[in-house]
Amino acid sequence: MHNFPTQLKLLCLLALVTLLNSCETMTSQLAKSQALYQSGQYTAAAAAPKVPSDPSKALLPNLYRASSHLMAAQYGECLSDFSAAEDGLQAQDASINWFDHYLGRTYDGLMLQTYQALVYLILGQPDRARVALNRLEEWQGKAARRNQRAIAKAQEEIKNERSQAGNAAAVASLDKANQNAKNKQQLSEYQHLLDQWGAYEDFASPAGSFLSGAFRLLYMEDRSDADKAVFQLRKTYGMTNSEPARQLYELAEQRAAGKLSRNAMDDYVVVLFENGLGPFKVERRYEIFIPLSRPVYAGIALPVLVEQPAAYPYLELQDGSSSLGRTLPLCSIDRLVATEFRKELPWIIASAVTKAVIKTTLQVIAMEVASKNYGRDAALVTGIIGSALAYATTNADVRGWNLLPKEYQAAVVPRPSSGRLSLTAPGMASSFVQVELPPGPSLVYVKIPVAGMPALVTVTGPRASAPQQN
Amino acid sequence: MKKLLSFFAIAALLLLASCQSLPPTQLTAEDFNWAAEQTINQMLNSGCLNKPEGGRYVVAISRVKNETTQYIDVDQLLKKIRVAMLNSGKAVITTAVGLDGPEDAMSAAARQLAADANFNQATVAGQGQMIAPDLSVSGKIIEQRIPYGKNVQSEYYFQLTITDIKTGLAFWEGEQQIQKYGR
Repeated sequence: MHNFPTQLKLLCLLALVTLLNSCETMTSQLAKSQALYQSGQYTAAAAAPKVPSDPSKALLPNLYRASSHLMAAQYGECLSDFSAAEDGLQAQDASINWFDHYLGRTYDGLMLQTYQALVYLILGQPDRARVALNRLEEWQGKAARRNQRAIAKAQEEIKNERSQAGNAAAVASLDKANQNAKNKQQLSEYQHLLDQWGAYEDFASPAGSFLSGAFRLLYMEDRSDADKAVFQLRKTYGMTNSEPARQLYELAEQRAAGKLSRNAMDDYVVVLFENGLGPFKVERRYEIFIPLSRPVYAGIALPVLVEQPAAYPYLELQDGSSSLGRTLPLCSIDRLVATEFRKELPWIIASAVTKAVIKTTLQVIAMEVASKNYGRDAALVTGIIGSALAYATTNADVRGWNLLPKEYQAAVVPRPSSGRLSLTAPGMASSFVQVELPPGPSLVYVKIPVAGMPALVTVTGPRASAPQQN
Repeated sequence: MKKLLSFFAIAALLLLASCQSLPPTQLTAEDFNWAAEQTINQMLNSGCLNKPEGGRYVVAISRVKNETTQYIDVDQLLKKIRVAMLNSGKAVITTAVGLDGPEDAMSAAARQLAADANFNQATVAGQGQMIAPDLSVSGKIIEQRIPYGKNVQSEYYFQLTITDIKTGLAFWEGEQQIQKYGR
């Protein structure tokens, strides 16, 4: 009898958690922002998420705002949001608390720096772009250490969950559930869902490396730029086997070897195309078998990656009516996200199973105690309340920066003799944009999240007189 | 005694290494000022600005390349160098020549007055009066990061070069290093 109040306390606690979970204003704000972004209402999308004062918690809203401001060509606001998001990442570095709020992933940091570099280039500030690209390399360097710390923290949380259960029966049933062959098979199948997504080298961003290499080649100042261009482009080509990366790598090699003159890059245009939207996480529920006095099944919720469509298969690049080439795949963000997600899976599963089994076992014990002391009706009421609470509190963490592109494509084409580059794509009636190229080497950056929606097309270069935007 | 000191030194380092609240390894304003002053003093003390035939060198300011992970106002560094050079009495700085065009466009703009009858033409700057630079100043700030467990050691190098424009030869070079240890 004396056990019942403890179980009741647990149920009250679960009720409180349910209440807190229902206050998902941030989630709904981000969903609204995403919907507006996908429908091309970029300024409204930027205004949708409210930014909490705690920088760690403000990471995701700042990333959403920055992406939307970028598409709206509001570059000052975009940089300010990215800077705040970077502060958030640094604050999280100081105190990682995986379960309280969205923890920035390595690719968030890599993409954030890539975007900052791009925006500085658009604004004609190559010195600041250089710093952003240096930070990208730094972020890559510390990513492995950061990931290790995050996983250690997650493991500690799971351990705490076990010890806080305060009930030997719950811990014992958890161990049995973990050993159960049927559960193992089901969870292994869940993990294999990621097999189709492929993988990159750990904590590497081919898109960032490509941009870094292209920048050093196009904006080359000295010998160290030439060497770094070779290094970054060789790395990109090694990771992606991409044709544009190979072309630029060979040009960088020739430049570094002194076989190409300083002005040789004036004859080329590099096109970087951000295509479509990256994968979203959705929740999928599984049933876990718990071997108690009578067999019980508990629901667990796990995140699953869902692929989103590309905006267009490629961009066709033309000089008037003559074709110069087309963009080719450079880097899949789907794969980048999946690479990191795969690393997180073991602790995501362990955490979900631990919580579900302990929660369910305590609920069963509470029902047994209620039945013994207050009769079947009390047990039934306890069971119904407990099940409802358990269902409501079983959620997968599906948060993420859902405004990333699906992929990067690139092209290295000869400079059009007309000085103007036309871009079109399959499914379009005619050229959707024509850009006037500045003198010297040019970098054309195109971002199209959804087909038919307003695109961002910019052109920049070391000798561009003023920021140009079409 | 030496062993004891070594022990305490190692213990202090280990304590430092295990400390979670280490500051970031970024350059502070004090670091920046110190490095700038050291480099400038090195340059002035080297005697490289002592013109053999007397008089002052005309110096053009080239570029300081920031190859760090920190947004640094390199103009601030250049301003310190310019002020120190001018105060030394051994050099003057030209503002009529710069990598992205003249720093002060007024020298060229004032010459447009040659076509304006409202101005006393004897006071208008004429052709052939500007003085070409003898030397140029350029530099680089480099950062190297070495991870130590959870923390990192950042080494910053402030490099300055004075080039003889006529010959293209490096006239003088100096370097200052700053090490920072943190997270």
